[in-house]
Amino acid sequence: MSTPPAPPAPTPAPPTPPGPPPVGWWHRNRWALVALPLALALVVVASGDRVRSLWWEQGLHRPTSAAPGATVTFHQDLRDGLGGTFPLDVEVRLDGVGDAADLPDGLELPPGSRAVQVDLTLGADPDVVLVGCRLAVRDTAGTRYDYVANAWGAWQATVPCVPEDATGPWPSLGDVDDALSAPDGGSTPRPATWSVSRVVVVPDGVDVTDVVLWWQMPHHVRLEVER
Amino acid sequence: MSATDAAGTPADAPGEQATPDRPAPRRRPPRPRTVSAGAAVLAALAVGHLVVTAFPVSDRVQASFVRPGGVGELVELRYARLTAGEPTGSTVLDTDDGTLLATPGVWLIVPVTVEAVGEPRSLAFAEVLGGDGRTYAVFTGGRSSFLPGTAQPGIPRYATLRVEVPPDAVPGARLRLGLDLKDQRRDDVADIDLGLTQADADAWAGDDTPVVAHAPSDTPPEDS
Repeated sequence: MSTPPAPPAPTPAPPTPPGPPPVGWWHRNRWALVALPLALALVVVASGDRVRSLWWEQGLHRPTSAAPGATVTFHQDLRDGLGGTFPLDVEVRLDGVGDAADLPDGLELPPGSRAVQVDLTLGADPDVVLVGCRLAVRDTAGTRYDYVANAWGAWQATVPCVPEDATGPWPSLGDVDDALSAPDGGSTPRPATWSVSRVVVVPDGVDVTDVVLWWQMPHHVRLEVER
Repeated sequence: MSATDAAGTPADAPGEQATPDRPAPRRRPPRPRTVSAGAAVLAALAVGHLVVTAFPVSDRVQASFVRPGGVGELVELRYARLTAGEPTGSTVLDTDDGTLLATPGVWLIVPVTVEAVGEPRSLAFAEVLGGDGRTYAVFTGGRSSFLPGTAQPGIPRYATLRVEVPPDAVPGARLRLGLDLKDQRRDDVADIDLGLTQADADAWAGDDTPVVAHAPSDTPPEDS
């Protein structure tokens, strides 16, 4: 009797050759993860394109402030409406804010209001265009009360920040400048420094905390009122 | 001779020569996970497109914030507080400057008090939603107009809206007022029910007594 052949001995599995360690998900997607915050930032910027035109440039958001009685130097590159800009450099000081002792001719205060006089001293080179400025006062709540040249029966200066009879140069209107006559006060040289007093009508009980002067939003001069 | 010719054409470069003995590399078929990810992206885009086009998302996002009110009620808006007074009407309008304007329809006159909020405001948008289903535009000039001027915060501004409408538009008419003449999207708009009836329309259509539209002022009109 012959014995059956012995089964072949199992061969041991060949050893796994050493290789690189397994790569994790975070490592494989590292560049996409780096790009993700950038993409999110781009999404926010792209979808917020109207924030600038509908909000930022429609309000007084960039102040150049001055303490009570201090002189502030203000610079802004103003858009000229023709695709370019022109520089504006001016020094402004708030001399005082108080109840108007003398009302402008014809001014009849509406019920429940009072007249506030704002005294300013300004300085600028005579060739700097300052026409186009706007003036307002604000209260503790930030509510703005504008200077209005033609209202309540009175005619005050159209441009609140320059002498009425010496406004200095007016902004260029392009090719039609030569065909236009000089505006009132535009041909008289403006002095290097001057003072103006303007009357703003505010409701009774308003506590004026600052005076604002601006040409093109959002930049503006903010002059704190001494309290 | 150009610089390219001097340096030899690209085909002459050693690295660019064809190797006919080497077989072209085969492209591996995309893995199932890649296919699934692509399908998921396409499905997300399709769903987004469906949501944007099938539902009025854009209209709702851009819609005005309509603030309802009635005659004599204060309507609070983002930029102003408004109160519409009792409407009057006639076939003849006195524009408060010596001019009388007659109409085959009726003149609808609504006194409006505006109190600005935050900063001086000049309301420029007005329209009447007539009871006949039509919208009657009120321009800043012309026969139908609403010119309140600029209201200083805290100082009420008294203005008058005048609009020329057919008598059928009077019953159930509503007045809409807003800040921007051309664009009321995403902003407050007052929607005031004027409380008018067919009796008002009939009475005004048969009345030729001039009704006065006062000029805007910061002083209340004497007869209001």
